[in-house]
Amino acid sequence: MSSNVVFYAGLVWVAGLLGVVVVRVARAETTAQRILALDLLTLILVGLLALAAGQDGRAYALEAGLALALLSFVATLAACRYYENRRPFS
Amino acid sequence: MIIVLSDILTVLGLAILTIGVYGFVRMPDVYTQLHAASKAGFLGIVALLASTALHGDGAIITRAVLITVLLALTTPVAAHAIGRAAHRREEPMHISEAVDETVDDR
Amino acid sequence: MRAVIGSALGLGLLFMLTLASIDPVDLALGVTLGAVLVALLGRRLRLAPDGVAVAPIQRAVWFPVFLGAVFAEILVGTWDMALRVVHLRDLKHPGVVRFPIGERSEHGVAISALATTLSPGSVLLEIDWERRDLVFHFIDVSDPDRLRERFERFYDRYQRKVFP
Repeated sequence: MSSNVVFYAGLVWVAGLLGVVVVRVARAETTAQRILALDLLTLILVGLLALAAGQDGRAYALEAGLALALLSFVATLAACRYYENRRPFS
Repeated sequence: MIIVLSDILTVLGLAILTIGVYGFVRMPDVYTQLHAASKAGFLGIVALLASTALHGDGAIITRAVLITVLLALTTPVAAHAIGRAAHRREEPMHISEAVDETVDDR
Repeated sequence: MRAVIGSALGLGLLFMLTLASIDPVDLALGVTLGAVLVALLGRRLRLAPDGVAVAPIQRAVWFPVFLGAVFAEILVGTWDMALRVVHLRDLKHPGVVRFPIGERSEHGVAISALATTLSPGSVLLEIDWERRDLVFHFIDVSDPDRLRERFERFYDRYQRKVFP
């Protein structure tokens, strides 16, 4: 358990980072940049869930993080393949 | 003692994540953004997970280790997929002195 | 057959880890699910042919060393990247370089690419099997030959004994 000050400050800080990345998703110049921004978004969300699990002392949040990381990996691959040759599976 | 260590790891992770996001916002093209975003992010997440696992029970530690291994295997593959797609669609590099040794096979 | 059973067992263990349980019923369920998955998908997943065989003991001894080396590379790369992001080092020479594959087997190429891509400052873009080249994007290619030399040295020192 981190001390409360660090936990809440960290929560606000990560939320700020999430906001910045959401803006970048919306305003990306190219498709690859948008995919990358989405990937980073889920990565930061996993960090947020890790922070929450640390404060909570229970593993529920980390289970969600595990699923989220797997899901974002598959989504990124599919999006890249679609962007590359207009088909998700070649 | 453990709380102090945990705090230090949390702050370290947040700092690395912040640098990753700042680099992502600042870099001009997708290739340089890849370096800053997905990879600098990985170490930040690992630091946050380590801070969580320091005082957790078995369930939390297994999950933290599992997420770390999973991310170590998936982030490079995702970065490679993005880079390859951008390279094949010939997305531009915005830094004027950039080198490209593959330019002669187009 | 041995490969199928091994994969099913491995998937079952992963299932247990994900659930963080030690219930034998869960193990049985995981192994069954794994076996069904392998039976359904096994033909479509082409496993890379084994190149050079390595003695298991040698691999077990050198694998932690290799992991440590990769982790050190990640730390150095992250530090370098952080300095570049906050303008303390210049960002004038990013670029795409070709690295020769050399003596690596198919597995070795995959591990090399994974390890190099994991450390910040380098991303694998393409594998060119015809010219036997790996195409990387580096954050600083002001001296490509030094990069190639470093890549080879890392392989010789840490990787050759584990994944040739």
